[in-house]
Amino acid sequence: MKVIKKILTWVPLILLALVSLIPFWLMFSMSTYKSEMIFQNNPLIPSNFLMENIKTIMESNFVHSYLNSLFVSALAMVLSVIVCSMAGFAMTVYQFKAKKFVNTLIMLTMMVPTQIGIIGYMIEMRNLHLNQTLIPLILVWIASGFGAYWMTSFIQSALPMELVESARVDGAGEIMIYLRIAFPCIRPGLVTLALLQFLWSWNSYMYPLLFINKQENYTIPIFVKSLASAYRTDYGAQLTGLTLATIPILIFFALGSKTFIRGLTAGAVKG
Amino acid sequence: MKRKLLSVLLCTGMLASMLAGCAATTAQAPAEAQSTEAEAGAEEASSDASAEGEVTITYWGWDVSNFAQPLMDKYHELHPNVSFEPTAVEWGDMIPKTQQALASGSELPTIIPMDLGLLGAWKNIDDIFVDLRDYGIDPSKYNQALMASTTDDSGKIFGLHEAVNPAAIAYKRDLAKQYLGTDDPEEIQAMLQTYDDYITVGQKIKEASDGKAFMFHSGQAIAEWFYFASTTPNSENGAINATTKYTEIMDLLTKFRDAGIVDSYQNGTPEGNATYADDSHIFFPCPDWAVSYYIVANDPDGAAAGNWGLIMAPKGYQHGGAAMGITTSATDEQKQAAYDFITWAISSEEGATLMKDTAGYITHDTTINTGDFAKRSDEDVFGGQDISKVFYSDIASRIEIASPSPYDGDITNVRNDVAQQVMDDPSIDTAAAVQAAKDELATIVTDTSVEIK
Repeated sequence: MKVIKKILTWVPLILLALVSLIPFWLMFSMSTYKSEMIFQNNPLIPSNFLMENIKTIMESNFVHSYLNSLFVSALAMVLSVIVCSMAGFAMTVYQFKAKKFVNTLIMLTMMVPTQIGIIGYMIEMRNLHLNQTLIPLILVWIASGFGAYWMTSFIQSALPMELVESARVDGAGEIMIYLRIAFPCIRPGLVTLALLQFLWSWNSYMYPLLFINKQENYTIPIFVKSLASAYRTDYGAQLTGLTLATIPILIFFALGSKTFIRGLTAGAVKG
Repeated sequence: MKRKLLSVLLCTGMLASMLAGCAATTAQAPAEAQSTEAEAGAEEASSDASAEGEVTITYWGWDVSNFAQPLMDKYHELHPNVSFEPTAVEWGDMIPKTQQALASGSELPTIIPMDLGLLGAWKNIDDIFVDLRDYGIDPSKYNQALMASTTDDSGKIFGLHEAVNPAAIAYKRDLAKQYLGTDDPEEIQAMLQTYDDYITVGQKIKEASDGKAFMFHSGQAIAEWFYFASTTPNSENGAINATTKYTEIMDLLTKFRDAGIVDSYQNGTPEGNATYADDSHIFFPCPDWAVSYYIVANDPDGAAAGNWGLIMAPKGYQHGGAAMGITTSATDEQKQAAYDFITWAISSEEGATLMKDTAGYITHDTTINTGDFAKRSDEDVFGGQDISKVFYSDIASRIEIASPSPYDGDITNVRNDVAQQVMDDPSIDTAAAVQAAKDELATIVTDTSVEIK
């Protein structure tokens, strides 16, 4: 009976894991093929063309695009976490008249599809003379409706107001309370938001597509797409680029996975 | 009190920046913004140009490394005062990116290549391109079918095609010999004069191979062939000719499918491309660029052994290719330099030869493309057959192109979807396929003033 129970537990789990992992493996395995040879062989078994594909992307603009993506995503992540956590702190700790209204506005911004606002954002960036730079790709993630909502919810459940009051009684200023009291309590929420923002920025295609008009400003998604000419798409090189592009994401998730999961499940069980 | 004020300021400041992207309205009308930008750019560039004679031509396109870059490098070498800033933009992103730039008043590039299948959509974007007649273009020396496709109703020439891309039908000689008893192009050509001949010969192959070999690998590929070979305009008088156009294509496709001579691979996918090297698919629609990009790339052994042959399709047609247009928002210096560059690439012996050597594109300037100019160096792939004659003499002279419409891209996408449905579901007949195509088209074409006939 126990064996059957184990089988019934493990088989579906293993199948689900395979369904999730096979695309990853295929991405890596296909990146070791010459594009035209991928389906003339069994793509599950790696071939010997990886170095050629790496050479192809290195001879293009890969390293520069990689650095651009790292720069944009890292800065977007850090700034977004700071701004959103401040907004969440303010929305939780302070009582003010327009609070409900502001909260509704935050929710509303999450309902508006990005595509609707993009022309307005382009006009804004053009008027600020920033449209030929990487800055629009960073700014767009900083004021995030989701981030503010996420941090507000998280701080509400993770930061005891008694701590804030005690700190005030002890003479701590508001900035000190935010940095010294709130920050350590909301770390899982911050890490979760940081990872999500990094991921979204790293994978973002539409903003770079519309704002980047110079090869030197390419980010990874635009670079990968550019590995195609009029009549040929170099799938092998594209998949090599994508495989290398997933490395930072994997590292970040590996480093922050425990905190990330804690962040996601925070508040799920009330003690 | 201070805290309250601080909190309100913090939140509203964040919200203001957050909403900026969503709520920022166009303070300036797009066209006005565009022209202001253009004027500002014009002043800047003209002062640069007058001070140092330097001109920078910007370019967005999907074929930078293969086509544009070598030509730009050479032109810059010959004219050091002309610099280029090419940006690789994926084929499908060209129009959305341009439309967003126009709507937000952002800068457009000096040169935009327009895919043949999207010429109508480009033409529909108001006044984005200059009239090349203003720069002294002589349309009579180019392929007339191609020139007609970039000439609007008022006679304005809004683009110049890079090259002629005649399309034929390629086949594997060893399989033709095995199933048809000959690999000689003249004999194969004699067998395949009409679409009905293809069905007859395809069934012969099917019988001879016990159903193992198919004449074609993909229903989508042959639907694409029928589409480009059709001269029925996609739209007329503001209405889309959906029924006529799709019936023409789907009727042939269902006949080919029902005869069992077409396999159901999706066109252009790595799986589909792998059929170029197998021993169960014999014939492939083959524009001139497909020789290197598809045949040599996917079947290097067969290509090295000269195992390919080429015949004309029942109708001469152009498949692929792009026309270059010069944007009206560029400065006068940029426009002139761009025109000089484009005509150098297409209409000078030096540029056209470089384009042929680097990209494999053959100019459609009939004063350059004479004698042996179009002689290809890869005829050994076809066992020494004179494919240059087939492409650039026999087919190029009888190319017909349906007049472009703004809905060509949508009609093409729908055709591709429905062709695959037809291949996957044998119960779909021509009428059902046409209805499915019209239904899908109706969801894509949101302009209610357009009738889908």
